[in-house]
Amino acid sequence: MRNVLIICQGGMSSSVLAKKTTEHLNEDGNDIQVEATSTNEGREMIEKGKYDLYLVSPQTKMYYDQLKKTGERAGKPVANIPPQAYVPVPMGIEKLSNLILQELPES
Amino acid sequence: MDQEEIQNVAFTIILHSGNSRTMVHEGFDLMRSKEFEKAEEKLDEANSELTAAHQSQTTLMQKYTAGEEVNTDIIMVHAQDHLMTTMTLREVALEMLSLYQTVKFESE
Repeated sequence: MRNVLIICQGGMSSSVLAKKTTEHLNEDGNDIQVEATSTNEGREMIEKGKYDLYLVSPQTKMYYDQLKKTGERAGKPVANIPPQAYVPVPMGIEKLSNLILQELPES
Repeated sequence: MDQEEIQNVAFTIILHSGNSRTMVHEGFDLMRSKEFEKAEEKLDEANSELTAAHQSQTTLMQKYTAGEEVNTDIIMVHAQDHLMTTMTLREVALEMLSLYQTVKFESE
């Protein structure tokens, strides 16, 4: 199984998305688990390198450069979520799932 | 209004507030490099985003006053938190802009 972590301000709105996206990915036969956390914890998580991919939510875009650098040091990919992929409607979930499949490194 | 609709409005508020917050931070960077006009423009842009967030909220208010049941879902409380803190941050940024300008003027 591969793991993805969404980083947002408090980790709350993202947890709604994480749950829906995990369900969508699993239904399509992908063994991927998406979780969510806050910005502060996110940085620590990247350093620990437990996840295969880190996604930065649009409302925490200002921390992206910093998180990206942390990711480079840890050898893990960090990507921005575009606003269209940050909506808990089927189309948004679909877009977020595609982004994950595209950005996840081959296991 | 069902939970999904509430969630959508909440996410719209969070997104616009987030955009606004990012812009305010860009404004702070501009103030530090003494680019005051650009900083002011940034804070104006940040205000447009806040207005957009506010409009989403207003639709809920209108439904509420029209008698429709609008549940206060926890995600909506969270969205409000985003909106209000960003509004306050922008107000502080405006004060700081004027402080930065004063300091520059007096040091010249």
